[in-house]
Amino acid sequence: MERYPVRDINSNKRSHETGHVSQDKSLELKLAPPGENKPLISLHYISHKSHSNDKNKNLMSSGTKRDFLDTIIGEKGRERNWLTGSGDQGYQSGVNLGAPNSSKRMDVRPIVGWPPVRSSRRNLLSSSNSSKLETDSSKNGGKKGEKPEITEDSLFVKIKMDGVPIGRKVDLKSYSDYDNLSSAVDELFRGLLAAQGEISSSEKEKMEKTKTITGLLDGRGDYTLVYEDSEGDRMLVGDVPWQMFISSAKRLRVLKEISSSYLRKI
Amino acid sequence: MSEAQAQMSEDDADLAAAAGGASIRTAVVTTGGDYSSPYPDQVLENVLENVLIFLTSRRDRNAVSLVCKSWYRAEALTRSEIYIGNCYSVSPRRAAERFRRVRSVVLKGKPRFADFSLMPPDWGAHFAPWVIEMAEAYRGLEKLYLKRMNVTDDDLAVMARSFGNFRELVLVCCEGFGTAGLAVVASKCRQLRVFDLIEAEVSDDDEVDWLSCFPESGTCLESLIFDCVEFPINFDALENLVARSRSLKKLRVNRFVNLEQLHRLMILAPQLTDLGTGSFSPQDHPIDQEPDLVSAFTACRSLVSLSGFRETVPDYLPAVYPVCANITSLNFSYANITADELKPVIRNCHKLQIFWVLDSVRDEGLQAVAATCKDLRELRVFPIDATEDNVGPVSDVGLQAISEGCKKLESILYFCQQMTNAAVISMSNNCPDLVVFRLCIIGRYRPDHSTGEPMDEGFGAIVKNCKKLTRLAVSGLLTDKAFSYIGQYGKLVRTLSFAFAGDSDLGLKYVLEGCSKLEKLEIRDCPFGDSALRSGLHHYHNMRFLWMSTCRVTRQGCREIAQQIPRVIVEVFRWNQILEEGEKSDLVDTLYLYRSLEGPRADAPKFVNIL
Repeated sequence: MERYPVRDINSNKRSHETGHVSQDKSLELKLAPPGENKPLISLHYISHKSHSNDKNKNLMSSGTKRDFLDTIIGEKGRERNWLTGSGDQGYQSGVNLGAPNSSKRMDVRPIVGWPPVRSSRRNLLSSSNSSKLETDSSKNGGKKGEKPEITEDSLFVKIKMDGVPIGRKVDLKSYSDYDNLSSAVDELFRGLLAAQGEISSSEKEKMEKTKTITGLLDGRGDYTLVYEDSEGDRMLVGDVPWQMFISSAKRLRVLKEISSSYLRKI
Repeated sequence: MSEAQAQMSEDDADLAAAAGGASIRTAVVTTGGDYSSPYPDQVLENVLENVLIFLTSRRDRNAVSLVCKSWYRAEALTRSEIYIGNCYSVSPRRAAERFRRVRSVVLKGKPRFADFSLMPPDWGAHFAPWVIEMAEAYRGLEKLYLKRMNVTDDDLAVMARSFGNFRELVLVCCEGFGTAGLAVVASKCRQLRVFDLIEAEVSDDDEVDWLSCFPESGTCLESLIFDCVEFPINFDALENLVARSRSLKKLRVNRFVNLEQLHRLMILAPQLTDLGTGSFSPQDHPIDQEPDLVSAFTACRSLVSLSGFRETVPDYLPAVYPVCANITSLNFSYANITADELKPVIRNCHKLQIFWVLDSVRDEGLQAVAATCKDLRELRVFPIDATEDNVGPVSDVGLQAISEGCKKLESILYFCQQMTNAAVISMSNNCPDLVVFRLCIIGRYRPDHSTGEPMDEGFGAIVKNCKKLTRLAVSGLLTDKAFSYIGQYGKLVRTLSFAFAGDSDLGLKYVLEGCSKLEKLEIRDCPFGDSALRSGLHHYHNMRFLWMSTCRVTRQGCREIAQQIPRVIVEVFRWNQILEEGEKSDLVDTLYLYRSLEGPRADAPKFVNIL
């Protein structure tokens, strides 16, 4: 549970001085189980707004805000309601001060999706005159970066096969050893290879006719399975113990030919 | 009949041939004496089909299809473009069974609030089931327009393989695909004329040089838009592509194309009508002398639309002067420029109809716009700094100026930090042609900053005076009164957007009971609960969707709705799976309700509950 400083809303000087900072701070705060500190922080968030030129107007015209504040302080029993109503769910809830009967949800974190501006339009202040031809650093880097997607139960890495334009993803944690992985790769790509350039829907037939992709690991087949490790080196799959492989593999590749020049490439 | 056929354009010739095929049926004549002969019906149907070819508006066609079964059939056979506003409202199979001769498909998925991170990323709207169905049913498909759909590389590959005559691909706000998918489309769709990526999220995992994949010998490309792509492209390939695409009219490049490169492209394509300029800033270490941009722009005599300016160095703006007098559309919404930098450009843009700009130009910049652009139809003012603040660079002053100068305004999107009722009322009086009015006061619950009153009267005036209004988005401090105005006067309104507004259930009731043409309603963070939800029961099957997030509707309330109206799907979901222990709140995080001919969808992720 985090502790945060208590701010006295009646202390004009202090609030005024630390106006901006306190707003940032209040935006940074994590929600904690209800305590007497909480309402005051929320109040401060409001009172920061009131420290504008329109301070008096704001407070007078939105009398409902005042009622709401009283309600918050007065009804401790209800605090849990609006705290938990949205708190741990992320940023969705908004500060709803409009009416005393309104939702008691309050969240001092920045409001998600507000104002309704698409992400491509955000951060224009900083990026507009900055370096023009950024390359890797400018990548969205969002959901699908080059890093494998790792959760507790899965480890998805990209796998691409020569001759198949579109890569796939495999979950390394769902295989127990190299043989498992090898046959999974075979199944995954067999149908795709057969379907290359075909329009007809007789793909199932083709799948059965195509021979299996074997010899991925031992150099005997038409294809060879390689991977890129955490240092960016290209390695032959099967050299290291399975667990070590899982922890270091970043991407997989199924090559049509194997030659020593493909290995150890950075 | 033959005269009509001769007058048809080339595009319709194919359809006429298709309809002409139906006339073969009339040759099958039953013997005389059979009064229930199908002969007269068939004649009527054929006539109808040939007439219906000229009917393009989908709303008109919907009306036609309701006349009787015969008209329904005829209409279904002659509809060449289908528009599906919600991909879950109908299954691909059902659509394909009704409309069999389709060349163009418009398909929309997620609701608009998904753009603002209010929807979890794996919610749905997958293109896959559609492309698989269309691959069999619509072999002659030529055009595809997808908005807010999840499209994978595989889907693009199926599409590229299946439609031999494919011509136009437009992906708006889509995600799920990358360069590999683009490469397949470029290489396999040899008839491609339009390849537009608009606000799409394209992944670069595969790092495929897709621009090199277009046909070597020459392309039919007329439009290539990829300004939303957030990673570098192979410029040499692009240059080569432009050189061998003699029909190219629209080109919008991304911010990884600098001024020097832009110049080279413009020299190759002076026939462009629509140019997206990329970064509009020079490369870091210019080697050669500065390119003669002014000549390049002067050479583009047909240019009517200008955009890009992603990292504008204002010193180079004067290069666009030669085209200002002709352009009808100007998008400066990524250009951080001041009023003084805008003025010399805008004062020449007499024909401007569409203008998108950042609020960095301030009220002063907007005044300059109002002074020159008398023909302005659409204005969008975006915030350069989207955080809540007391004062901002644009305000009621700018809005007032625009209302006085641009009387033909039809559509406005305006972000600001403060506003007055007076300015909004003034706009309602000066701009009677307004169809879309979207005002976003970034500071939530902000009243009129000069009178301290709620913004009710301003928005009330808009719905009252703008008789053509179909789309409205409100903001600022609003009481239930504002909603009563909307319900009372907004009789043509189809799309409404509410956020942080209203006092009680009454607000939503007014709207649901009053706005009989309402189709799309998106609400967030308003104090509307179950009682308000119930007041719309009579209307939900007429709507495309209702979205309510962080309001006061309960699970029970949603369940009641689900039980009482058939053919409406009620989805409730939470953003974050983690529920705090002991949480008893019955309040629903997000309610998304839409009409559908199908049952609950099978592809809903775990966090979505369909009631």
